[in-house]
Amino acid sequence: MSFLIVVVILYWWLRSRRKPKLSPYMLEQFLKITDPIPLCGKPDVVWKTRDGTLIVGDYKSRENQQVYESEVIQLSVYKLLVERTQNKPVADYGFIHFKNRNMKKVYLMKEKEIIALYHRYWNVIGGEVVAFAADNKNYCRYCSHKHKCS
Amino acid sequence: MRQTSATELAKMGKCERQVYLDHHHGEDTSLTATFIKRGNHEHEQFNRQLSGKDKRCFIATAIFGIDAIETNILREFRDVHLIPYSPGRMITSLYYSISPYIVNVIERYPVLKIPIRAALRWFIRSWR
Repeated sequence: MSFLIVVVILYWWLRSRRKPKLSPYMLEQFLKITDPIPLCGKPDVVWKTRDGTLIVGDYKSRENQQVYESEVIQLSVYKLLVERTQNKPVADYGFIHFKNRNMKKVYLMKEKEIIALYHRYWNVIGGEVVAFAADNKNYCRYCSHKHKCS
Repeated sequence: MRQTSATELAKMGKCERQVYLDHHHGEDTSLTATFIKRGNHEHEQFNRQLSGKDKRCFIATAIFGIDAIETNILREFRDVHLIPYSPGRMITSLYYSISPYIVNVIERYPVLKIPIRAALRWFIRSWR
């Protein structure tokens, strides 16, 4: 019995000394780049793995674990910002953290795709291309432009 | 080329028309103000947890409330009598790994709050 207690205590002692799989590397730090495109943002968290790879994470204050396209875009931009400012390897996936302490792994967009989206963004604003309406009509419920939008 | 934030670019994944209209007519957040306020508060909590400024004490928080006197006394007990010592840190780490499950059980069966509240009050009284 006492041997078992010693083993349990030893296990918890070793566990408490062990380096965590993920430790916070950066919290809500504003990042800005101009190359390849001018982007900025403030990732909620950047994790560091035991092997030194950085992983971007974003917190969502909801329990529903569905991941939306806009969140993948946001995380992908964060990944590009971290990659260009930290000179450390960055994982091609990120984490979405939910209110109930769950997290979901999300594969991110490639740099080329972000650059293309950036150009489309400014083309939409300039009225040079037809702007698509939301696929998900739930977005329209809380949109302040719902009366103007046909 | 103009500076664009991750949040702005992310709107492209929701609705391109909204991106256009926000830019030309301004963004009105009155419909989403409540969500934004709640989200900001929860972001702060998330940040506090990760930065080590987390005032965790799961069971006491579930029983007495996040900033109750009893919860703060138990936090003080943890910080003064447990954290400075290696066995204390071990107990704290063990407690943090099992307490979320205990809290789930307490939330499912609120009647359990009565004996746990009494036990914690007895502990606080005998410690002080």
